[in-house]
Amino acid sequence: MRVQIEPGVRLFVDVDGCSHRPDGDRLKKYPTLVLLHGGPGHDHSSFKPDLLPLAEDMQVVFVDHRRSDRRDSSEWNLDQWADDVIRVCDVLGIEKPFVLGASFGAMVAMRYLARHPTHATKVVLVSGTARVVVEEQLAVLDKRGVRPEIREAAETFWRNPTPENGAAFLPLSGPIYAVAAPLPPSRSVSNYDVMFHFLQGKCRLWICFPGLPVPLRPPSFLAVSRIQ
Amino acid sequence: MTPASGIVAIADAIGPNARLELIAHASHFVWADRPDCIDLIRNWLLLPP
Repeated sequence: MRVQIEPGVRLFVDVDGCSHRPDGDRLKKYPTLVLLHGGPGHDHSSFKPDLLPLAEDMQVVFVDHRRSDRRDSSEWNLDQWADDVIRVCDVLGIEKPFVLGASFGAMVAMRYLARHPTHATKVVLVSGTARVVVEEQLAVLDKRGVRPEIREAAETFWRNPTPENGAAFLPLSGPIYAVAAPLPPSRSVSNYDVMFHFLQGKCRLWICFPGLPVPLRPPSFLAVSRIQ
Repeated sequence: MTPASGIVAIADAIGPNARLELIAHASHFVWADRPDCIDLIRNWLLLPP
């Protein structure tokens, strides 16, 4: 379904699991988990089917980030995406959610934490990045011994993330992100303009929690692949 | 989007409320190769505050 979060802005949202479930002679309220996907420019499909089992114990809400190519690209920034979490929750009547962000979604979740530290009950950050530092990323590839042609394409793209360099790198990028089989790209509806815009912008300067230390209140769980 | 980096710095920034798990033999999306991560996340989320 699509929900309108502000005039002219409708986000795709999918839900698995009821928020209220029979428990004896009453309905029991279950917590809600809001999932923030990676990219940017991809959609929530990377969470399916792996995270669907969580719906046994909580309501799971999949949200596609704002990314319409019909709107001004000035809307494609972390503050906007972070505030969209609040807007979606307000529209859907979700209070004190769990929030999980993966990859780029973890960057959005961190920004959301920094801007709205009391909104979530708990936050999970999976394979997040504090900011984009190309040298650190290349060091990871060197340590893993990825094939030279992949490393070269990665460095070219990360240093100069143009559509042309993306076209050369992205089809080769699977081994960087996956131990086994990479996710089938055909499941995702992608808008790479958002990715190029973001990678060319302030993500290289952005620090997840400006003005450290920030007294973040929600307990936070960070999971990251050891190979990264 | 990118290989994760700075994750320890993020954990330090969050402070004592942070729990950091490094998952061996896992892809960028850790649950793809390690479905047990789902239970790890589930159990942590459902822990009483």
